[in-house]
Amino acid sequence: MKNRVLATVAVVAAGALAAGCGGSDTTSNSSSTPSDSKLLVLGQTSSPAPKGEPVSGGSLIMDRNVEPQSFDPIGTSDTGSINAQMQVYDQLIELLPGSLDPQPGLASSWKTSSDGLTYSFQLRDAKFSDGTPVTADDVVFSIRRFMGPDDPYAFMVTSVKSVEATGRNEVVMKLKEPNAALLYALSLAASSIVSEDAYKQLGPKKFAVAPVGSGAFSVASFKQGDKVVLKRNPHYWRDQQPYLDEVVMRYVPDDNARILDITSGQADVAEAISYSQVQELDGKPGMHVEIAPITGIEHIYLNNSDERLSDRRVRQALGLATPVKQLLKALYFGHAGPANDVIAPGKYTDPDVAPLAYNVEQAKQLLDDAGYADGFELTLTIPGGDSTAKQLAAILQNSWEQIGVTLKITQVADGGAVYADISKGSYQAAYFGVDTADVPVQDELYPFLYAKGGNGNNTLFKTTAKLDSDVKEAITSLDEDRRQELFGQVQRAGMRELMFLPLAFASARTAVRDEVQNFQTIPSNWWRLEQVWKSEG
Amino acid sequence: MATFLAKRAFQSILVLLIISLVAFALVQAIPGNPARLALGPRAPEQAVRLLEDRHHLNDSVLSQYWQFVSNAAQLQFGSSIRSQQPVGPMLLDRLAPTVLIIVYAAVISVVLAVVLGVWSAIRAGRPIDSATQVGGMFAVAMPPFWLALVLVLVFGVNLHVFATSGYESGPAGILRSLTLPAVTIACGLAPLLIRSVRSSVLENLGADYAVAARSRGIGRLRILLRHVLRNSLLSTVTILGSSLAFLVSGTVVVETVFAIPGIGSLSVNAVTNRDFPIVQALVLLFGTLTLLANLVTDLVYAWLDPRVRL
Repeated sequence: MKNRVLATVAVVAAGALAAGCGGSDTTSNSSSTPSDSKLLVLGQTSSPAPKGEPVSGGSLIMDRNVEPQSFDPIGTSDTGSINAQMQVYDQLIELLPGSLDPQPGLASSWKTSSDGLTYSFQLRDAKFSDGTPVTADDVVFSIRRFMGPDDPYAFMVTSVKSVEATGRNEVVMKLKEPNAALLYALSLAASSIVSEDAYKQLGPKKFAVAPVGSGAFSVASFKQGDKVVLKRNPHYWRDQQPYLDEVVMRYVPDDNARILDITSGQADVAEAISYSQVQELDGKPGMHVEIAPITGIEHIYLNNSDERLSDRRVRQALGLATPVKQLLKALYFGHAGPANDVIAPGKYTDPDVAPLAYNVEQAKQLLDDAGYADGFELTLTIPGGDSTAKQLAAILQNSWEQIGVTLKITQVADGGAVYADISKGSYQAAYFGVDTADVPVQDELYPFLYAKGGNGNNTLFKTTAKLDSDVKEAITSLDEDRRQELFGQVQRAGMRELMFLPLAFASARTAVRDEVQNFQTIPSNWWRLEQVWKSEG
Repeated sequence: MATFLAKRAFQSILVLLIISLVAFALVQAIPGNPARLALGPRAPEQAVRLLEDRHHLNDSVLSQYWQFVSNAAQLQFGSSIRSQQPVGPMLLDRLAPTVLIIVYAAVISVVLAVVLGVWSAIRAGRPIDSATQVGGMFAVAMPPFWLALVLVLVFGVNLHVFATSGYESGPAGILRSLTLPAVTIACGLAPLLIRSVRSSVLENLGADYAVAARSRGIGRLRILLRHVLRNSLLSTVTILGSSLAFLVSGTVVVETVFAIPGIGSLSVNAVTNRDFPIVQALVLLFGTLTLLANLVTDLVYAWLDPRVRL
C-alpha cells in the first residue's frame, strides 16, 4: 500500500512541481497574433487598459498554483511566498508596472555619493498595519536580517558594509564597493520592512503566519493547503489605495481546476494557465488571459565538464541543430519569445542579438571539426510526469539525430531530483523547467555564470578572464552606458559559448475576469494589487 | 478479547517500527536536498548549511533515525523545513477534510453496494444486473483525475450545484465542497463492493440454510434481509477494511484536483519539497490508520459472525 501511495504521490508531485515551475513558462497574447520569432519585451503586457474610475471595495479571489510557505521575508525563495509577501510589506524601493527602473517605496527619496559607496534614504511617513509608525530602526532591523546568514538572497547585498539609522526618518547604507543593483536588491521581498517590535514580540514562528508590515494589505487568516485571506490595511501610505477590501489567495495546484474555477466565476484571477489553454480561455466571454513577459528562461543545461560538451563547437552544433521556432510553436503555442541570451532577460538585454539559428549543415560541419563526425550518444535528464519536458525531449531527440547525436532520455522523479543531479554535476544534458531572476537587471545572474569567486558559486561553466572582468566591471559600474555596453558583450559571449541552450524567454499567463481592472504582472513576476479594483456589474 | 487486543497492540508497534524504518530509508534515498530546494539554486552555501543544521540533516543517519523514532514515540514530529511550523499540529489541522472525504466515500460506496449488489443478485442476468456490471466497469476504468474534472465541469461549472474547488466547513459547506471528491473516490471503490455483495448474496441464496428456510415457508424478503444479507456482508467488510489504503491514496489525487487542504495534498507538497519531517510523520500516520482499520475490521467481523472468536 505504501508503494502505491508513494508512487501516486511521486507522479502527482512531479506534475505539481512542473506546474510550479510552469508558473512562469510562457505565452504571447492571442489578441495580438502569436508569432514564433518575435522577441517579447519586458514590461509590456497584454493587459487591457483599465475601464472607468477606480472603485473602492470588493473582494478579489485569486486561484494560485503555489502557496506561501511563510510570511517571514527572510529565508523564503519560492514564488508562492514572495508574491504574497509583496502584498503585505513595503520595501524602500519598488518595482511598478510600466518601468524596469527602481521607484520610490517606503523611501520617498535617496541620495547616492559620487563614489557610489554611500546611500542615504529619506523615509516617508508610513504606518504598519497595527497603526504604529515605520521608523528608521525598523528599516535597519529588517535590512540587517536580510544581510544576515539566513537569507538566500543575501548575496545581492554582500557589498553592503553597514546600515545605520541617522535620524528618525533617515537611513544610511555604506558599501565596501559600488553595487549597481543595490536599489533592485532593496526592492526584493527579502528586503521587506517588518515591524521590529511585532517581530520580537511574536517570535519568528508566529510572525511567519501573522506578520506585521506596512504594505497595502495585512494577513487576516492563513491556512496552508487552503488559502490566505488578506484584508485592506487602513494605514497604507498611498492615498485611496488599496481599492480592494480583501484579497483571497486560494491554493489550487491543479491546472485544470483553476481554469474551471475562473470559468464558473468562482475565481476572479487564475494564475499559471498552461500554454495549450491560453488561446481557448482568452476567447471565452467575460475574461481574458494576460500575457506578461517575465525575467524567466527555458533552457537546457549542458554539463560543460563533460569531455564532449566542454568543446564549444559541440555545444554550438547542438544549438544549431535545435529547432527553436518549432519548439516555440509546439510547447509554448507561440506565446513565448525566443531567447537571445543564456540567462533570463533583463533591462540590458540587447534585442539585436540573434536567438539560436537553425542550420543542420553548419552543425554537422562543427561536429566534424570537433572530431565527432560520427556523432555520439548523449543523455538528457528530465523530470518524470512532466508532459512539456517529454515533448521537448522527443523533439530534441528527432532533431539531434540528424547530426548523429543519439539522445537518450532519462526521467528522474521530479524537478528537485533533476536539480540534485545538476548540482552534483552527474548529468550530461538536463532540463527542469523555467529558471527565473528576481530583479529585472542582469546583475543577479551573470555573476553566477561568469564571475570567479565573488557571490557566485559558478560550477557550471569555466569562465574566461575577459568575461570575468566584464561582469565584475558591469555590476560595480555606475555608468549606465558602460553597463549596457558590458552586459551586451557578455550576452554576445554567452550566445557564442552556449554553456546553456537557450530556448524561450518566459511569460506569465494569468486569466483575469473582465470586471477586474488594472491587473498587471510585472517582469519580476508579482503584482501590485493595491492598484487593482473591481468595476461594478 | 483482552489477550487479543494486547497481542494486536504489540504486533502493531512492531509493524509501525518497520514502517518508520522504511519511511526513513525511502526519504534518505530520494535525490534532492530539502534545504537547497527551500532556499533556491542561488542561495549561498552558508544559508543552506544553516538550515540543514537547524533540522539536523547533517547528523549521522543512525542518529537522525533515533531522533525521529524517539520523538515520534512522544508524538513529537519536529518542524517543517519549508515553513518552520510544527508538524504535529499541521497534520491534525489537515486531518479533518481527509477523514470526511474517506468516510463520505465509504458511506456512498456501502449504500450503493448494498442496494445495487442485492438488487442485481436477485435479478441476476436481467438488465439491471448487466447495467450495474457495465456501469461499474466504466466507473472503475476512469482515471480519477479525469473523472473529477468531468464532475466539476457538469455539477460545478454548468449546473452550479457544487463548489468547483476548495474546502468549506459546516454541514452545508461539507456537502457543497466534498460531495464531488467523495463521489470520485467512491467510483473506484463501489463497483468492487457491489460485485462482492452480489456474488455473496447469490451464493447465500442458494445455500442449504436459505433453501431450508424457504421450504419452511419463511418469506423471501425476510430470508434475504435477516439471514442472507448479514452473511453476505462478511466478505464486503473485509474488502472495505483493506480498501482503506486505496481510499487514502485516492485522496492524494482528489485533494490536489479539488484543492482540498487535507493530508493527501499535504503529502504531495511534502514529497515535492523533500520536507522530510512531514513525509515521515505522514507515513507513520497512514500506517497507524491502516492498522486501526484492520483492527476495526476484525472486530466488526466478529460481531457479524459470532463463529469468529477473537
